[in-house]
Amino acid sequence: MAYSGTVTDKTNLGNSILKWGTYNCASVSTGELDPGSDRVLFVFLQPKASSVIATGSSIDETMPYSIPPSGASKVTIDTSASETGYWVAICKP
Amino acid sequence: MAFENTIKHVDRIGKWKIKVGTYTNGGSDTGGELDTGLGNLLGLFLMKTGNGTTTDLAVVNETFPDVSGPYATIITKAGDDGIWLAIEGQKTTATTTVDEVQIFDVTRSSNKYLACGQIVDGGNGAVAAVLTSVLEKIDWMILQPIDSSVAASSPVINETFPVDAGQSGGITIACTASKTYLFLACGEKGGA
Repeated sequence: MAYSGTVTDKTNLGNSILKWGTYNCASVSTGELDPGSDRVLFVFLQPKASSVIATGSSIDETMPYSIPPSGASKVTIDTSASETGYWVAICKP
Repeated sequence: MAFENTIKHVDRIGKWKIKVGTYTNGGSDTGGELDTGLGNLLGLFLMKTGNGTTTDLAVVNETFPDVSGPYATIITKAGDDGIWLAIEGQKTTATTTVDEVQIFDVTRSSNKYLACGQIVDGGNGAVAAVLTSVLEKIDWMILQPIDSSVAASSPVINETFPVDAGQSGGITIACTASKTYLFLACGEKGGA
């Protein structure tokens, strides 16, 4: 299996967009989160599980982050193995 | 290099003012006084950046709402860097009741409502968060530990969003026993 993710919805802020979605690091511990915007100001990962996780996730980018025009890579996230959850991001329109 | 923080973005969500920034530690630094540039802090959410996960989650060592802004003490694993989201609102006091959601304030974006508050676990590491007084359908919720030392585990939410805020049992959260967590939730308005 590999990483997968979704963009669920968004709402407009004053000068930015608040977006959210899901991430699924199925059998892996890293992935390329695609918030659907090129300029990402903030990302928060909220794990979904039935009990606490003894690991804190990380955003492996220098923030704010501009996704390269090639789109070859997105926002790299590091998580515990097979972690799933929700992401919330503040992006530029 | 000592602890430093920057402000990268300023915006508004309805009546709230928000700021986004970064924090960096020197190799042996374990956090410091984060200057949010905001006054009455409703919440401060921290996310580690850099390669690899951490076993010591960054925490905020303040009592919220924090009317003494703009500084908020954060505690991190030595050398960990991250990003932060701070929220300024109008609420200035909060009661503390265990195993209940305490809502500091609610605001409206273009088509959603956001609620910020705290959850105090009563000792069993499980909270059924009920937000029916301010939100109806909940799209997401995020949790930030408040503590005087780094957190050994991540709080989790055991729900498939979106959920009906009025569902039986509320929003199921697993956390460290007797700890306090800031929350930020987004959804559609309902309740009183």
